[in-house]
Amino acid sequence: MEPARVDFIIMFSIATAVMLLLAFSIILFVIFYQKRILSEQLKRQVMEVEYQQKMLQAALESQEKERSRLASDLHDSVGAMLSTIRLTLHPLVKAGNGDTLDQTKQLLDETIETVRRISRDLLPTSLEKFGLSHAIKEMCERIQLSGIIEVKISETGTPIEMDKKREVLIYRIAQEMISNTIRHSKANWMHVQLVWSDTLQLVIQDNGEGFAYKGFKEKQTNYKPGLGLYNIETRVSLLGANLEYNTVFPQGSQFTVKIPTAA
Amino acid sequence: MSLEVINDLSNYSQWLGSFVIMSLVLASYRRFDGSVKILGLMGVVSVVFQSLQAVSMEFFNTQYLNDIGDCYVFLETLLFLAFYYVLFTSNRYLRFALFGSAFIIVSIYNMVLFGDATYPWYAVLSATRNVLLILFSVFAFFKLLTDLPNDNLLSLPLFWINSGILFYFSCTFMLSLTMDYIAQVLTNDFKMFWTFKNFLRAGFCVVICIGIWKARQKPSHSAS
Repeated sequence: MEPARVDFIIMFSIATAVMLLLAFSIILFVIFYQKRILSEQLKRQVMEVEYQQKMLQAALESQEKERSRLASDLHDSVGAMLSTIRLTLHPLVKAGNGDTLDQTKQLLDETIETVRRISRDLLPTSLEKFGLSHAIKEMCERIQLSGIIEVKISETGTPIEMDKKREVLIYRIAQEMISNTIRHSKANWMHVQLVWSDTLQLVIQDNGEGFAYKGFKEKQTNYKPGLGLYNIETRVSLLGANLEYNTVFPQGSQFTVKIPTAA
Repeated sequence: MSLEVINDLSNYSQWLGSFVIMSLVLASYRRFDGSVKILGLMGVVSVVFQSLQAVSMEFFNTQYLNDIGDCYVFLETLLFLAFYYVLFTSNRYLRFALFGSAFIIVSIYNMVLFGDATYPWYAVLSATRNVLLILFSVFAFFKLLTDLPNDNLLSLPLFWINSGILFYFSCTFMLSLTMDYIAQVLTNDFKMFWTFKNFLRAGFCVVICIGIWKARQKPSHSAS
């Protein structure tokens, strides 16, 4: 074989191999670069979601603290002062100084009761003392006694004690849902169910007129952000729970929240 | 197996590759977008010119490097430039560069037809084609990365088509550059190099076919 020919074939092979290697490197670079960028994007998205969750949690916690402070102030200061005024009035009423004093005392009693109710709504002490089931039952009984709507409450399974922060979130969801039912559903009957298993299912059913959940959500996103349903959904997402809405035959609606009992 | 047989085999395989490209595009022609249609047209041109080349060599005893080959390289380059022109719809500068490249190719082909017959025009034409297409395939990869699709890259038609173009024209760059030298000096080895090119071409066709198949599976039937 002639040396010039051999030299040419060697040079040709090396040059072709180098070109092939370059092409291969470019393609590999494209594949790995895309993968790296996508994984970084994914990480950033996860971090953003976590950050938003933390912000929401902090906002809700600060809201709870504020409610607690307000409830204490109402109960300890305003409530105590009103009670003192009532006691001061008592001898005057007993002395029989007329109808006006009677009416004033009655008004005062109603005011004291209102302050107590607001204070209780703001800080459900029974939640702290007796747990979630008891607090929700107590809330339902109170509404039943008020006569605004007929409330039935049922519980199945064994209650599981959860982190207090989670219990407060669930309580607020129940409170918001019940309040929405009373205000908007035009129902005269409501059934609250607590189903304990691996998860806690909070089911609130009514015989009201129901509503288009999806359409309502879109309207809310476009025009009225930050309303009741948004608050419920925020808390649901913080709990890692799942919210379902169903129309009930022949009329009414049913909200089901499936909540993992462990954080 | 003799070199003659292997060479015939390589000829048939590259012809078959081009035929499959043509058939794949023609089978769903209306549903593909412009870029894939251009690839189909390239398949048609390839099949026609390879057949003409085979006929001319069989019946008129022509050389491997002849006017048919020159014309094919010229047309193929213009078709690939058109393919990239359709892809780079949003980039004015790249489209301008493609026009410039087309002008260069037309000028060189003009020299092939009317210039000094002893000058290695085939090498100039095909090496220029290779350089231009390597550059545009790199730009297309760059575009792919800037668009950053969320899909797996291997599912994208453009990835396969572009990889095929980059591989083939990179591997044949040295061959294109030295083809006239090989034809004149290493005459006995010419068939060996030509066979190597044919097999690379067949591989290139397979990769392009994968790209077209992926485009067929995509709802929009587009290469990008």
